Formats: sequence, C-alpha cells, structure tokens
Amino acid sequence: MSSGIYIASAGAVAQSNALDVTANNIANASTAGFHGDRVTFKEALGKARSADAASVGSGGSRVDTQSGALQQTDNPLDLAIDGDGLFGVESPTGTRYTRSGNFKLDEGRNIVTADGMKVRGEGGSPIVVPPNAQSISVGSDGSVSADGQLVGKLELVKFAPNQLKREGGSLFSAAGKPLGGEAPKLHAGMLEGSNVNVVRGVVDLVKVSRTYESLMRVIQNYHDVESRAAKELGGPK
Amino acid sequence: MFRSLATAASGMEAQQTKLDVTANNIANVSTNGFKKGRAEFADLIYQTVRGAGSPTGAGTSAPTPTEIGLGTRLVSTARDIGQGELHSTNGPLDVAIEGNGYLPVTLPSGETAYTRNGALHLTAEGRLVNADGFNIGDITVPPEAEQVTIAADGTVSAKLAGGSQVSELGKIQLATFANPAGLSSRGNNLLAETPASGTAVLGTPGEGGAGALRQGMLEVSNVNVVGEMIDLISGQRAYEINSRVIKAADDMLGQTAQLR
Repeated sequence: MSSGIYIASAGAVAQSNALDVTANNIANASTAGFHGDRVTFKEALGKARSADAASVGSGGSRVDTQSGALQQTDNPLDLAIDGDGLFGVESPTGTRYTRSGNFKLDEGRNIVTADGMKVRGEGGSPIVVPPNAQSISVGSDGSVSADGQLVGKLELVKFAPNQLKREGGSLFSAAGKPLGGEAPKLHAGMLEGSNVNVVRGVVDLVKVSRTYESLMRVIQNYHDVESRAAKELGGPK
Repeated sequence: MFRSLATAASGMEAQQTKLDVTANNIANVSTNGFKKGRAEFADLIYQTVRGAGSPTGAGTSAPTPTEIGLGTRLVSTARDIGQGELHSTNGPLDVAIEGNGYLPVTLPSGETAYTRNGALHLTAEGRLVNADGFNIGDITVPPEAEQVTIAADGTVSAKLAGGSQVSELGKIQLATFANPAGLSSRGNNLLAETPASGTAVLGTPGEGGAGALRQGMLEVSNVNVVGEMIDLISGQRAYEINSRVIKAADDMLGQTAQLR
C-alpha cells in the first residue's frame, strides 16, 4: 500500500478535530467572557513511514486571548476585565478562575457567579454586601463599595496560558502560583461578550469542510489506483 | 461521529432560549413594573486530548493544551432589577417605587406575592387593590372621600366630603429582600419569595433601604427595545451559523460514507 493514504487519513482526522473546535466556538458565541480556541497543526515527521512523506498531527488548540467586545448593561455587578486577567471563584472542588463577570448576590448577600459559586475577595474570603445597602459600586481596581463604604476587594489574577486548564462552566483551574505584576483593570456595568468572531467561524467551517473533501478525494484516488493495479497486474492474462 | 453535531445542537438550543427570553422582554415592553430577563450561558465540559505542560520530548513540554469543548449550556435567566423610567399619569391611585422594594399583594389563597406595578384601584367596598383585585395592605377608602393622597412614606390619607379635616386611612408598606434578583416570577406582574431571595423585610417606604413612593406616577417596563432588537438579530444569526456547522459535519460524514 502507498503511504499516502495514511497521510490523507491523518489529515482527515486533524480536520475533523478542527471542525469540533470550530463548532464549540460557534456554540459559545453568546457565552459571556468566553474565549475561543484556535487549532494549530504540525507536521508529524516521526510518524511518517518514509523520510520524504510527512504526515500531519494536531499541534494543539490555543486559546485566543483577545478580549471580546464590551456590552454595556448598567448592572453594577456586571464586570468586564480589561486585557488579561481572571476573577477568583470558590467552587465545590476548590479555587477556580473565570472571566465571566455576570455576578449576582445570593441569599447571604455574598457576591456569587451565575452558577452560585462565591467570588473570592483578596485573601480568599467572599465579599458580603450589607443587607440595607441601596447601591453597590465596583471600582476599576476591583474594590467593592456599598453606599460609598468599602466592603472588600475582588481577587484579580493573571496566569500564563500553559498554567490554565478549561473546566467548562466558564471556569479554569490553574496549576502553580499566579503571575505577579500589575493587576488587571475592571469596567463595571459592562460585560465582556464572547470573543468568537462568527465570520471567522464560518470561514473556518468552509475551509475545514473543503480540505476534508479534498482529502477524501485523495483517499478515493489511492483506492482507484490500487484497485486498477490489482486488476491489471494480478488478474488472469 | 463528529462531536460537532452535538456541540452545534447545544449552540442552537442556547440561541433558541435567548430568543425566547428576548421575545418575552419585547412582549412586555408596555407592562408597568416589568423587569427584563437576560439569558446567560457558560461553556460545557472539555475533552482534554493532551494537557498543557505534558512532555513532548526530552526537556520540552506542551506550552498549550489540546482541549476540545463540547458546547454551551444555559446557566440562568437573570432578571435585570434596574429601575424603569417613571411616567407621570396624574392618577391619584398610581404609585411608583423610586428605589428598592416591592408592594406586598395578598393573594386569595392567603399567600403574599410582591409587585413593582403600582397601578392601584378601589373595589366597590373601597378596599385598595391591584389591577387583579388582590388586596394591597389593609386600607379602605370611605365612599365620601374626596382627595386621596399617598405620601412618599406610604401614608394614605383622604379629605372627606364637606369636611376640611384630612384623615389618615392607613399605611402602605414595602417589602425589601436581601437578594431581589432571586425572586421567582409568577406572572401577572407578581413575584414570589424563594430561599435564594431571603425573607421579605417589611418597612416604611423611604427608610432602611426601601425606596420612596411617588403618587401620580407609574414605573414603566425597563426593557430597552434597541438592545432587544440587537439581541434578536445576533441570536438569529448565531442560530443560523450553528445550523451551518451541522450541515458541514453532515457533508463531511457523507463524503466519508461514499468512500469504498
């Protein structure tokens, strides 16, 4: 058998992964603070059967860290992070991080995420808003005030991309310590939309399906060539 | 089979929910005291093909993970409790709440529900009720009353015909909640207490965190039609593009099936 058929099938598998990633990006076009993935491919020389025929492997998916468009909501607990950075969240399985700043208050007046997990203040304790507070405001440094009185400061951290692992529910888990340096800035009364560009999503979709189609043709051609070889060379004279 | 089929289906379902919430907002653009809803989403779980930092060779490790996400899900339909505009109606029994708080409404079952719609009415017996005829407080206006006034602190008083004396008829109280966004919607402009909202604290309007009452005004819906139209357009397009993902996956599977 020619090695080309394996190269084409490796390409088809890589393209089907790319389709899955594109599908997830498009499905999350309305998820606040969602950052889309981009698939990268690489040559897989080591896996090829001969030195002159390289195969393709999936090189990994890389989170597109560009910020999504900010949407004004005027809700004081809708917070968008300007640039890099994450909010700390206390999940049932430990500390997690998120960019979805659509926070709420729970029955204990703690600031919580849309899923009801407590948002971490500096030092890890949740932020409690006094029950009779008329107005809540959050400063650009994450300080939370109720009726002008400071009640706490939100934990804002930065991590290197390779420290973060996606967990679903807009959460990330992090390995190791957060990076130091300047703390991220917040915009209150705004939400960061998904950074998925649907135009690019559709272009990716067309590209993926056309590449897949060509690879299927390549496989079909190898099949035709080999069946002809079998018929003409191996058949009775 | 491709994961993308299920992933795109979750995206279509999410956009459909977003459209449902937007449709309800637009339908209630003229409902006094209505608070708009907002569908909020989060991503689903990820399949980790290779974790970040896993070794790729002698002394090198993957700088980024290979993770394939499986779609989106609805996390909440949050109510935006922001104040709606106050419109002057000059109706003596129209009251708007400026600030936090809800008017307690006694349902025929004896339960208490809460509303922001302050369009009040009188029954044949002179009891103060909402548009559905449910009691607001325990206030009866005598038939000979002329000018009914509702003060900012909820005091209802009236001048009786022929007399010059103004007599107090009762007080309207406001209920406040630790977490008003946690109230559940019951329809008919009514909201009900839930474990997430905390228990109702009854108080005098204008004191202890409760807003003041404004007679002759009504709070209109806080739906912003322009914002809803944008949500409608973006939701519809996102739905369409998710359906194209399904089409692409289907085409690719068709091409694979034709190999032989």
